[in-house]
Amino acid sequence: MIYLYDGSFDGFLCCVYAHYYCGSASAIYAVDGFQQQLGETCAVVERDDEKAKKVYEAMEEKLGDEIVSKAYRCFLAEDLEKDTRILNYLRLCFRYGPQVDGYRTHPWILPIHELDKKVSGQVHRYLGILRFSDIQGVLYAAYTPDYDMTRILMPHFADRFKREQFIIYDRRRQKAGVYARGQWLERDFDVDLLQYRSEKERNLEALWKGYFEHIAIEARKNPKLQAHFVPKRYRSFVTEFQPR
Amino acid sequence: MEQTLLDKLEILADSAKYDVSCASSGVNRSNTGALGNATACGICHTWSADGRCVSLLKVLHTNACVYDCAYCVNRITNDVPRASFTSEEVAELTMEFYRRNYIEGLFLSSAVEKNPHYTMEKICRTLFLLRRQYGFAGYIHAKLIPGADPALIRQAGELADRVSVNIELPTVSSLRSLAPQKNPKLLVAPMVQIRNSISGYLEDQRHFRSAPSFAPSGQSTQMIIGATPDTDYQIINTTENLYQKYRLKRVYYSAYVPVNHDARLPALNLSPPMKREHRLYQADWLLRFYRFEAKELLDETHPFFDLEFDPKINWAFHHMDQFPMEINRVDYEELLRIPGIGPTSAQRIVRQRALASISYDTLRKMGVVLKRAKYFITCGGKFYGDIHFHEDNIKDKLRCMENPKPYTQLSLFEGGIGR
Repeated sequence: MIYLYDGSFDGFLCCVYAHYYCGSASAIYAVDGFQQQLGETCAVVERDDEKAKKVYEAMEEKLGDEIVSKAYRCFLAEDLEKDTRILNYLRLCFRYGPQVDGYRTHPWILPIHELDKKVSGQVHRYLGILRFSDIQGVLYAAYTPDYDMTRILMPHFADRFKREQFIIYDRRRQKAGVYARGQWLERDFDVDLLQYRSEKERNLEALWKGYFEHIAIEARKNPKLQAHFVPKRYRSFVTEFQPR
Repeated sequence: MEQTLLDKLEILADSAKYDVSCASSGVNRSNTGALGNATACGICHTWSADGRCVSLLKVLHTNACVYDCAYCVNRITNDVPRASFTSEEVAELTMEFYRRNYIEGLFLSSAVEKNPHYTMEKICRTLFLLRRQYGFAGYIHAKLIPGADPALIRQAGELADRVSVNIELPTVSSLRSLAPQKNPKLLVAPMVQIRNSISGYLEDQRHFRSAPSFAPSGQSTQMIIGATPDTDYQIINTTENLYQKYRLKRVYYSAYVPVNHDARLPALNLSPPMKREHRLYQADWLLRFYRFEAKELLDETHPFFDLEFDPKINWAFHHMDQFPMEINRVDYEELLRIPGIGPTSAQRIVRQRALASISYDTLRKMGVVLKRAKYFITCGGKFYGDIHFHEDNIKDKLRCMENPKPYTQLSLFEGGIGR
């Protein structure tokens, strides 16, 4: 049986629930973009907050935080089979306990490590190279991540900038994480605020660019190494790589 | 003409850039103030044109120095532009850069202005302003100025996450020759004080969870290599001593970049000894993460690292009787001795071994880099190197790998022209 869901993480968890209580799943896909093949039976699983919560709590209790967040990061990966892969991984973990994660080359575990590496690698990169601008007192960052990761970035910046108000705008998905007064939420958003940077803001950018140029040691110049760490495709939103 | 803030920032970044450390790692702290937190793994924010990571705003408070150290660009006898920040300027730059996520924190150092005490006081004043008035809770690395009052050293440790004293050169004799105004005894005193304070605070924290922390990310140091005739053997012995005796978190090396003309120093047209610096870092890693001891890597009869093979492979060639090692049997510590296998791979192997035996193909799937390791291991009793297991054969193979192009005589006229 192939289970289909609405594309949300809770929806996916309901498919995991269905796998255990309504008959085992041969695969799980998001409804959007799914094309049924001849001879396959599919069922659309309705999202049900109760069931999702049950599965989530079981994961937290039996598998621990590390595996829960790993599963969530894999869920964000752009991979057609990711839902089925996560299900299989969770099945193994529920059956043998979280230490089965160390059986790295198992065909149900290896893909999870690979997906997780991609997503968490980019998350870590954006923790560093995301750039904010002060637009009339609100900190505003725009970026185009490969994965829908704003929800992972928000808690980090919500703590770091707890007395600020800020917006992290995912231009590719036209959504933004918005934070103010201890709370954050995600909403549809499609406004480019960078054009409203003040004179003062541009002066501050110039200070940073001046610093950035002078901190490099001429005798050790190594543009290849620099490009290895900051690939060109990441540079378009990074202040110090914009022309002066 | 009056200097603008940009002028000052550029001058004081230029003066600070030879300081190597930029780490923001070693401490986890949520936002206890108004702005900022710290992540144990550290976060790099950008990479400069030399490929070095930029994590902290690295500046000198001032580059107006009363000392005349031969190797230093800021020495009193050099004709370079001088500038000084006020405490407010440093604090504001840090806050504003941090708000835009340009940086992970501040690395504040200084030339010795007037005297060590005056300089350290100024650094402490800035840290105090930043932490207590601006409520900055991000990462701070502060340089300690040897010769300053112990009370100021203590204050810096209470305000910063990491502190460091530069020992500058690997041996006392080198220091006497190149930095005659720096007293070797005074360099060690703050290191000892910090070490003792850290262990005292840790003891307090065992009893009271809310006890304040003291330099929670520990202390580090750095030394210049290639400016003096010190051997690699002396350097790694000094390093080991610093890790063991003073419990340093990191020792940094900087290949000497000729900035001054001085009869005591290498000529200005020499390029920095980058390969040697690289070998020292490799050896440093072996000491910190691979459980090697300095005396296993070099000795008085072999005082320099081989530039052809890295220190770990070199060690393996001198201990061929211990190889090849069976991946399924040797313990974690032995796994770390295999060229090409580091802590990550070794941990993966140990974790997986507990659940299933490991074949050569499994190793590849696990992401273990086998191009070197395959000559030093067996999997299930079988050797997978494409040659007969013998030191000379392996050397030939590795030589081809490290130097894909055959050696050619360098022409005098080739330098500087892109190939």
